[in-house]
Amino acid sequence: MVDISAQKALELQSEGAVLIDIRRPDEVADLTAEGARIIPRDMLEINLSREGLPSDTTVLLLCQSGARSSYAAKALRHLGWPDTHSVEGGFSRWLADNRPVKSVPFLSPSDRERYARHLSLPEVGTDGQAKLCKARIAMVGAGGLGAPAALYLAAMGVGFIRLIDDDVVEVSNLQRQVIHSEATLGVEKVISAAKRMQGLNSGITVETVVRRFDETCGDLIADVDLVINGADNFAARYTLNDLCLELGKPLIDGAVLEMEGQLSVFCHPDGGPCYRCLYPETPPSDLAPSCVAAGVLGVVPGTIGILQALEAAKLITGFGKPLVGRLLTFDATDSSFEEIAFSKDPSCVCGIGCMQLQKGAA
Amino acid sequence: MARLKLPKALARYTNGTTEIEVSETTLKDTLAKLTNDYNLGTAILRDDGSIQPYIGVVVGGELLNKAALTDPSSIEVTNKEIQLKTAFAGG
Repeated sequence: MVDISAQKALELQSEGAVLIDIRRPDEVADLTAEGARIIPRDMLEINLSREGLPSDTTVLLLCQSGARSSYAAKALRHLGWPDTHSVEGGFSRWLADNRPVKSVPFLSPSDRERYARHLSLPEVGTDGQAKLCKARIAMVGAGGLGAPAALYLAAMGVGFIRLIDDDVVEVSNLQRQVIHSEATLGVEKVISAAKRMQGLNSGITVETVVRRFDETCGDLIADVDLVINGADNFAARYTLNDLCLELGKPLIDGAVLEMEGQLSVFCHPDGGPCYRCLYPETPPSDLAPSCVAAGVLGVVPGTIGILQALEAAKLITGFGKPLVGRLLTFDATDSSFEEIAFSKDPSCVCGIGCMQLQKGAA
Repeated sequence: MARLKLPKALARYTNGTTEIEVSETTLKDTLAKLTNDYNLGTAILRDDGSIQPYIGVVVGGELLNKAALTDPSSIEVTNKEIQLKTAFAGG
């Protein structure tokens, strides 16, 4: 039987059946059935196939009145999930009969339209987008790495972004720092970047801090969920690492030089390694020249900066596997990526830092 | 044989070469030969033969930590890929 009662659906759900609300986001609004996943009808088959839902799964479909779910159930049965059913009367009857419901994170109609491509993704969906909209990020550096990262963070709807940098836009920046423009030459980078970000997404808050990052800047990262590092010097990198360690903030670190880039997530509160585990000491300047001295291909920071935004999305929404204990390196000469595994160094200062954090939490 | 990959920062010492085949069987001997062949001075190894702390050593895709590097003569590298890594800070 394709159509089943809500009572039967609840019984099957308690036995492990998967309940899916297939209504459109505007129909779901802020309420769905308890335990239901939300996958709009037009994304149903593709999402279930992509996630590899086992064919012996009992699938229960819920729409507004029971009509669409009945048709969809018949389709799923033919497509490889033979134990699929439609809940009679849909969510309207479910609600009228006082069946259990749960709140869905609120997104305004305009947000639902703006982030429609995210809402269709099972990896993000309404829950993930709501997390992005509530997230708070600090970004150190509004240059080569910060430019692409900031643009994508703004586009994806990260609710609060604090930009920290003390430089002004120079013409030599424009070969790679695509968030700035000829019109903002001489303007503080954070101001220039914020204007562009707000132009892309006026629904987010961008706070600008014209300041060089140093050990006195702990207050600038204390109230955020994570930190993105696009600094251009070793002093800031070690300082930021130590502050993130002390404050328990994940640090998404990127670095570039010439044709190479690298990326990792340090100081993860779950116990991942820190920057000092990977690089205990600063190399001499002849082995680590600056981009000013050695140059950098414009698209290299573009590539790494966008990947930093990706790591932020993963950490905020919870999908995928963040680069904790993994260093991703990029070589633009052959467009190759490589991954190096590394773990917390028992002799590193971060062991002590974590112990202090645990004591503080206790 | 082992394959040694160098960071571009060291390429200035090796006439631009960033990949070298080596026949040494331990990490210590491999780095000593590299230093001698290319006159690397103390860029990789200190005067006492220990590895500079700013050089990351990756063998078989995994970064070796300080403890593992205290005795590089015990690290077998035959038929493995060795990478030397240095940090860079461009943003």
